[in-house]
Amino acid sequence: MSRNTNISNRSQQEDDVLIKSFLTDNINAFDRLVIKYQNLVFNLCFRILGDYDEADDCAQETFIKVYKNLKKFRFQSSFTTWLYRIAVNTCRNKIASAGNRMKKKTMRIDNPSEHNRESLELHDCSFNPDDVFEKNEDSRLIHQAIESLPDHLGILVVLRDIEGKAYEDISEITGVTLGTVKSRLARARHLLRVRLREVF
Amino acid sequence: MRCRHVNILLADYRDKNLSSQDMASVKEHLAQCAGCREEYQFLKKYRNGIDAFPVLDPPDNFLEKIHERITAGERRGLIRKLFYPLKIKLPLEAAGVLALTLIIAFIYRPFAVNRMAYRAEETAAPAASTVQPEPKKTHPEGDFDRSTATVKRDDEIRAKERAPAPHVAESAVREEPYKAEITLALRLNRVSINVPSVGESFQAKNLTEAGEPRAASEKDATSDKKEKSSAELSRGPFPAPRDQPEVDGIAALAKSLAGKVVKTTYDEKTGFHRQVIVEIPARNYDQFLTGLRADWIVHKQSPAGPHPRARRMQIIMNFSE
Repeated sequence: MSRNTNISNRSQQEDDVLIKSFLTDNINAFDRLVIKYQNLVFNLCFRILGDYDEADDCAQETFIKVYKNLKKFRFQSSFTTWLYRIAVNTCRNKIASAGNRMKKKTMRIDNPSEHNRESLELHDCSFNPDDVFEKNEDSRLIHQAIESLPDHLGILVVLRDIEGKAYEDISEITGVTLGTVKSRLARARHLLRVRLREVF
Repeated sequence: MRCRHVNILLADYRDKNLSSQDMASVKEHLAQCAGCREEYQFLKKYRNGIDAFPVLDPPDNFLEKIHERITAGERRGLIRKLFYPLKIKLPLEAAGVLALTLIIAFIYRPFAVNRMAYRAEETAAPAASTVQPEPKKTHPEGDFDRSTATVKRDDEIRAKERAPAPHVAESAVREEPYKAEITLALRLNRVSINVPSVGESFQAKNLTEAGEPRAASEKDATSDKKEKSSAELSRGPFPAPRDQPEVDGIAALAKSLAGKVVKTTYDEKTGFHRQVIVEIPARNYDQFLTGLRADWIVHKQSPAGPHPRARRMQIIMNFSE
């Protein structure tokens, strides 16, 4: 436990140094921040959006926002929490965008029973997300079940169960009160249990 | 240990984050309770499935793409700063700005030039010349500079070429930018005019020509005055509206001075006109006033004379007994 805390503190100090260096016009510091957190941000976006290309786009947009707003960072919260908040908000915007909604609608009309699978197959992309889960069928089913949740619940499940964030951090990242986070998570888990019991 | 308590501890039991005592209690409860055992199996499968989630690598050129987008964004930001200072995003906003511009242009007419005024005056001049002939080489305003005089001469040539009809002159007159207003309070000159009685009003109309109220003899006027009842006097200076040679007279006077009647206000209660507004060229104002004084007493005038820059003017005449 204390070992994890030490690592976290060291990482945070390193982030602060990189940010301060970036603020003195050292562009390499920003590159180092991107390299350090690109996996984390990319995977978070992929788990929320469920689409490789959209995750790529959102992750890039997240870092562009970081680049533009880093001078506003006040070192009051950890850089990771701040980064999570930007990434989550970018994903929310993506989900709420007209194009995304239209895409989902079209898929449902075309083939309502196999909405998720169909949407992935129709996507013009060399990367097939089904390949990601081919080794573990349970993981694929869980991923689909989380994706089928309402957006505001799905994000909480990703942050808590997959990213392993504390309730307090989730509250700070999503801007939702602690009590609401807990109640929404309980509701999300109930829905997941109902949907997964059919397939498990 | 109850099921509800066990359900709370199941996740930590799986992760072995409980004390040895709690671990033993939960283990014991799971051995006895089928419902909690099923819940634990489900939780284990769920957690194992999540732990097996693959960690994806972003594309190889991830950092380069970010750099490209940042550079492109900065370039676009510069263009936006240069060409879109108002940051207009919606067509609706653009339409609003356009509408506002048009309204402002319509109200203030920033592009209206004096040239139109000169042209209007020149086209109106032939109508006025019958009343007030002026020397050909003398400019009526007398204070034009050379450039305006040149414009005027050009317009003269064009006007001759086109030989404009009278209605063209009228429409041009409407474009005059400089106007002035004078308010006159008028009272009927009872000595000079014949005021018909109620019974004679229609007869008076036949006898009195429009614009010439003095056509009736002074003798008749005197006798009429004697016969006039108090009720007639209370009706004011004018006979019934269909019998208003005085208004016609004012209209004729204005017309003879290249003007026109703009508005007449008729009082339903008294049956007389209360106000007449005429528009004439400002230079003909003195002549108009002289003609008016033949039949009317001007007992109030405000302001004293037309504005020096005015070319057209409106005369608001309020009638009183």
